[in-house]
Amino acid sequence: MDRPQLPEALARIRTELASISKVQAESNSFAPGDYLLREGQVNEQVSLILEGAVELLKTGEDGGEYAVGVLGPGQLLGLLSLSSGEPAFLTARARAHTQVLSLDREEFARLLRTRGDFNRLVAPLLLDNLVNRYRRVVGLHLEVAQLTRELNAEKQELKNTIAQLQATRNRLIQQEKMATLGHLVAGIAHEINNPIASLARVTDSLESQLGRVFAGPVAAHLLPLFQRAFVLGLNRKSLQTEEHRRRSEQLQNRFPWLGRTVIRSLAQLDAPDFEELYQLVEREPERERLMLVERLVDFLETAVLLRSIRIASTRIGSIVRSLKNYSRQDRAADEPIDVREGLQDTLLLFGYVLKKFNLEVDLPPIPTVRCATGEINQVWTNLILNACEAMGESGTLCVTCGTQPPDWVWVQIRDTGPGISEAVRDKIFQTHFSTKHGAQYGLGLGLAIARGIIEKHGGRIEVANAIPNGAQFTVYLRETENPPPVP
Amino acid sequence: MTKKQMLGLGLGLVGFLVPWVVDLPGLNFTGQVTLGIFLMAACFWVLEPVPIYTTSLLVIFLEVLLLSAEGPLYTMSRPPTVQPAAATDVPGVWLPGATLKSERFVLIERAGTAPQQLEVEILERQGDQIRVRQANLSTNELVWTKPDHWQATYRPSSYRTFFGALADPIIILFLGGCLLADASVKYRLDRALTRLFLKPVGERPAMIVLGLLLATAVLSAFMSNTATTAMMMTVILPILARMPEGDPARIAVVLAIPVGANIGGIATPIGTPPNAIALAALQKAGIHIPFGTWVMMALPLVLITLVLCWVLLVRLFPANAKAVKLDLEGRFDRSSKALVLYGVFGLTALLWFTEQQHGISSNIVAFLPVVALPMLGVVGKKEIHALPWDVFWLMAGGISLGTAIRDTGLAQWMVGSVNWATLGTFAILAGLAFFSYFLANFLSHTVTVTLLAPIAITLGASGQAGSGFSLATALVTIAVASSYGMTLPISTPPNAIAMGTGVLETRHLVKAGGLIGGLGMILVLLCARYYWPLFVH
Amino acid sequence: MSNIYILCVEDEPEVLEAVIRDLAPFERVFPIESASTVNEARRVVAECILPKGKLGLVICDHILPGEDGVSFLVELQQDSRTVAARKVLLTAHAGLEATVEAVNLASLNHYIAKPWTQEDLLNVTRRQLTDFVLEQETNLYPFLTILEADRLTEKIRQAPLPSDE
Repeated sequence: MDRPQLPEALARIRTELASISKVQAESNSFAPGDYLLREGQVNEQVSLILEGAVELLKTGEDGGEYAVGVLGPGQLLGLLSLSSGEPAFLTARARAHTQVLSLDREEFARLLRTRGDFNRLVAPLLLDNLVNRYRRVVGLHLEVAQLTRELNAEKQELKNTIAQLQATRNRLIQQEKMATLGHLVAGIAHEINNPIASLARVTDSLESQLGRVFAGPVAAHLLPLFQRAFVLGLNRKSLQTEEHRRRSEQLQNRFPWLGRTVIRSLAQLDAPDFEELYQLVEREPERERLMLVERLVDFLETAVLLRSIRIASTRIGSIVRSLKNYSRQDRAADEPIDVREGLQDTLLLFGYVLKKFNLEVDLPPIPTVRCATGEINQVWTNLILNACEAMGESGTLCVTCGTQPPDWVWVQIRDTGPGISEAVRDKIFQTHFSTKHGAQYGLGLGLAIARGIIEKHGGRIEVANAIPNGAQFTVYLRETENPPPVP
Repeated sequence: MTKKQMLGLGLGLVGFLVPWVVDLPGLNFTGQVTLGIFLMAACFWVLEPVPIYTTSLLVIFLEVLLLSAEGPLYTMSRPPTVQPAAATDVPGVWLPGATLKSERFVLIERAGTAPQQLEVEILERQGDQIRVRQANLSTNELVWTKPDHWQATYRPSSYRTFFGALADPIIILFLGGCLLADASVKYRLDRALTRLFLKPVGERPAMIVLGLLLATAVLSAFMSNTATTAMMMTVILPILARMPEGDPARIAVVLAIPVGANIGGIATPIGTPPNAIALAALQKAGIHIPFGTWVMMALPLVLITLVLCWVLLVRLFPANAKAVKLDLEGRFDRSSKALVLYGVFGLTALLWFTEQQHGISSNIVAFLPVVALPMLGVVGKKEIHALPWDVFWLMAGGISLGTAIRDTGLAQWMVGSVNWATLGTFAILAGLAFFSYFLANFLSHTVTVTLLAPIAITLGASGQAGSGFSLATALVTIAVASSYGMTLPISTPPNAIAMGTGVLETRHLVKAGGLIGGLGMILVLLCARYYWPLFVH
Repeated sequence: MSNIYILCVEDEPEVLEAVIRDLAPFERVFPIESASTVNEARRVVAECILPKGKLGLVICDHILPGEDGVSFLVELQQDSRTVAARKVLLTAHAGLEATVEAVNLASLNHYIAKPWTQEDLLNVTRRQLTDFVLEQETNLYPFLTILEADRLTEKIRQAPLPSDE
């Protein structure tokens, strides 16, 4: 029906209805916000909207009300109930000042059936209503399709973002691990370099030293003297440079005719050993003593070189062993282990970082803990490097452990750095939190990773400020439930 | 300032002033002034309160001030003069009676020289005026009114004489030698020659010592002993590192260099300043020894001494090592400038050695390199500036002091105070030789010869030492004997350098230097007695 | 002549011994002193070296217990008595930062990485000590047997000689 005809049609319907005296047609007015109909209510009426606008609402599955459409003048409300007799499908609420003409639905049906003129007047309206609704349904379908498409796109985008975030996080963690690994490698290089340097130099020196030893024949009666010197050299104890200097000065005063190099060598001997050797030397004629002492030093030095080889190789061996232990891949992830070993290995491997600090290590025996050695050592590494970084150039690092009832094993790493202020204490375990710009030993993920690993093992990490200064990290882990019998 | 230097300064000043205050019998005033300068110079040279070359400069300055005709002492204390007054109607001229000397003479002023003495005939006395007759005495002359004034007995030299010592022909000879030596150092001729000399000696330590002695001696005959020593040390010390520590041959090797340098310096007039001082003194006395003649005189002595030194060093410090490898670097520079240098060097040396054939003095020849080398761009201002001017000045001071001592009559006075005739000619020679050797061990050799040369000159000139005394032999003896003074580290700069290497101990030097000096003295006296008189009279 | 000392600072006893052993050829002319910490090194310089001579060369490990080697070198550089000493860092590990600091503040003269060869160490020592004596000493002859003779010779030839023969 064309719009210009509508007011006319409505007016005719009203007149028509009024002419049917028996019909109880109520004309009702609604203010905006008034409910015409509530969803689920039994609806006995069909209402023709004469003027204003009615909003249709439907309650969703989540309990919220959603607008599903708006009815204007000439449209009918209650058509669904009219045809099916079911309670109201939608809620209707006046949106503006609304005037409706309401008819009992049976009355309306009867009028439609019986009164041709009424039917003639209302039928186009009904049809119009139906067409409108149909249009709307089609529109809705289209809209739903559109929305679904957009939704899917957004969903995809979100998925991508999440994946990216995940990747970034993994990369950061990887980088952090690489940074630690870099330190580890540097540390090992440094630790292993000293014995290697010593070894390299000793083997070179040994060549010339042996040349001197075999340079001349040794008189049979002097053999015991040289053998003794050799044995003393092999079993020499490491000497403080200060003590060595003191002995050198004494010897130089006593034997001004000896060169500094010879004196330096002799000063390695403990006084009783030296006297024992020198008594043997003194038995010889005076003019041969210098040569004899030099010869003796050749033997002594050869032995000292051999001893250096032994020390250097032992040292390298222990470093390699620590390294192997440090990241044990051959053990099961939840094998019972003594965390103190991992601590010791970590301290050894990062010795070059720790060298400038005082180290206080107090590790009494503790029960074993089920965990992955490599991962838990990562925790110690991160905490120790973090402590070193906090201390800067000097300070004291304390590493202790102990137990706490009922079944906790704890490890505490304490530094004498500036400590952690209240403001940041909650943030330090977050990724990307660092008190330093361009942190020295990593990316600032260390503590976050450490917490992740500890929580994975069912433990917890606590942080507090140490007294008088510095920070103190305590890691709690559960001891092995049925500890194997201590051998 | 050390105590020694304070003492030197004090004694020097006292020595300078004493002759002004104390009147020494038999010595005129100028002689006394000269004695003051001499005493001061001797104290300063011996105790060195100031560098010795500055003492030389002071000597020249004092001579110009106090002894030259143009100096303030002479010009400000001229004796008063008077012009003779013409006598009227009678012969002769009138003079104050005070102008008379020994009642017979008057002294006439002569500008720049000693006064002229004229014998006068006294005709008349009127009060303090006398009338005298003298053909040459005009009223234009100036007559001294104090004929016994101290200036009357000394004819002062022009200050040119004293300043002239700075460019004495002998200094020029030395200048030429030094410039050749410096150019040789610049083009590494010295190193190349060293390599050449040391190449044939092989690897035996004893032969190396001999090679070093000879090479050093040859170089030092043309270069300064010090420069030669410095260069040779830089050659030999790196090689020394290959000899085992404690091998005595190390000492022999290091000692060979100062010994070779000191002895080698004897060989030529330009080998070392004492030679030049002796030659300069002889030239003043009218005796010229040609370059080649000096070499002929000195060479046998040098060679014998070097062989003795070799035996001595090898015996005193026998080698433990069987062989030492000498791989010396140093090639002859073949650049055009170096070739020019070789040419100039060769020509100069040739002209020096053939002086007797062509008759051109070696002093004149020495100016050839001085002119040629800078002109041809072989050396530049840098090398000219680097010449050892202090050595030239030291020598100049000695030369001018010798002149003053002779000219003022101081020498005669000093010589006259000893009765030489009782000693015998050879004893005098031996005395001079030992005194020179003794002083040279403690003093600079140049200073030693500077102090002794005037005495010898006077002895010869005065005839007091007897007819058999040869002035030339005496001076050569003094100069040569001084070169043997090498017992102590302070005796010569080469010794000081050798000690500075840290390889030697003083006792090594004293032992070797003392023995070489003792043997050397015997050789020198043998030469002075039997060999040198063949060349000079 | 006052002694010119070499000071080695290194905390690993075996490494220190190796350094000293390698430097033994210099000991005849340059006495060697050693220390294992910066504190001790400081004491050695004050009590053993300066009363008897000069500090000519320091060979110092970078990572030492307590204070590090670079800070010690910086300290030596600021002391007028040791500023002339040549400074060498001997280390197995030092970041760029430490090296830059050492070069800038301590005028580090050389850097030797562990492990080293004796030839390297001797060459570096020889060069550094030659620099030192060229700068500090007037009598260069004693060093001709042990240091870089060419450079010393050059200086000797250029220097004025005592010429009062």
